[in-house]
Amino acid sequence: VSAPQPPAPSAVSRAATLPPELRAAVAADLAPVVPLWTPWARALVLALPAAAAVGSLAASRSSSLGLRGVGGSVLLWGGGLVLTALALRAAIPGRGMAGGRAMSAMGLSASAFVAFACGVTAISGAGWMGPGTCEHAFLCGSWIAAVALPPALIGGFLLLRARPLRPAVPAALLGAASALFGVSAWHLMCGRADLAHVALGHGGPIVVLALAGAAAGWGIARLDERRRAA
Amino acid sequence: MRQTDESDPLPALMVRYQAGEMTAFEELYAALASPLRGYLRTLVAPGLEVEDLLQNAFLQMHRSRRSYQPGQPVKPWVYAIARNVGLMARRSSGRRAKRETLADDELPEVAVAAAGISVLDRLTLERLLEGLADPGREALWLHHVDGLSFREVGAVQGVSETAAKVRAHRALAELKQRATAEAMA
Repeated sequence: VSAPQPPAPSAVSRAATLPPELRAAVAADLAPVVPLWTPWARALVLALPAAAAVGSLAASRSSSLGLRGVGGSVLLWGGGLVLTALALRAAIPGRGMAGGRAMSAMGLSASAFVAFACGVTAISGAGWMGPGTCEHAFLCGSWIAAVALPPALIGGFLLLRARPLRPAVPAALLGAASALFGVSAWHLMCGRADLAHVALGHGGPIVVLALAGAAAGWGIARLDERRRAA
Repeated sequence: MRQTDESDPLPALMVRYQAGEMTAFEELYAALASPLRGYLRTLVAPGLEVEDLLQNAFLQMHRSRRSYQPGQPVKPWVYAIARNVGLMARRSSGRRAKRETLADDELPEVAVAAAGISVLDRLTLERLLEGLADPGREALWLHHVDGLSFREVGAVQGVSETAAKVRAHRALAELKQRATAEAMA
């Protein structure tokens, strides 16, 4: 331990003096920036095209207004909108969502989806399981994942613009939200309503895309960490 | 999230900074550097260079300035960025420590500030704080030293307001216990 020294003049004024390197780095890139829109406004950027897709499909297929038709799609679309807004909000520094809360949100969404699937099955009078559940579930799941890809990519772009500090949580929420947009459109295309098919074929992609989002977010965080360390 | 109160000058400074005013950044630095330096000290091991971390935090803040939403409180946003910088540094120094063994003669020399009762009190407080569990110590510092509300502390730590309150309360109780034990010894 060194001997006590009187404080240097530079140390006294250190609190208020901007270091020259920091000043130079900031001055080199001080262009005015437009603040991000609110999370809800940005979520609508994703949700409105999804709503248009659902609307045009509903019109072309003269779908019913009940849970089995447009009503169900609107519910799923609403779920997608809420999860997207939560994801974009969680990406903003200081407004992030703890892992526990994110898990609660995901658990709540999963429960709501199971309730929705039970409702669809009950209304349509379909059984628990129909013929070829696994094959059809895989087919539906693939289509839903394909339909969910554009909102996932656009949402990922919107999410990264906020430079999230812990991207895994918002990315997982965004993955689930994109899948919900896909399911909301596919709900009008698929003729099956047995519980096993709806839960596996339509609910499966939500889980898969949420996990894929979390993995992508985790990977981005690790890359960012390595880049900063270098 | 609550909107800012009228007496807080930081949101107006952030808006001017987003508009590209260097003087606004300088004023933000003058207002935030000292509390952030203290906060970073509570987050990282004593050997780490806090000045570097502080500059890094301001650089990250500069890169993320688009994500600040006008009308929102500035401190939770800035502290969350600084927290991330501090935790990353702690994690990478932990990894390095596993790979390297610091020889005794390479140990950093700890400078002692000029004598003064307030400095001694502060050193005692910092020593007592060092022994506390991380989340509690952090919550205690943010609320009682930096003046953030528990809602803001929760936003910085990514937990609810109640969880932040519980953390700070537990840490304070432990701190009192330690101080009493030290005084008795």
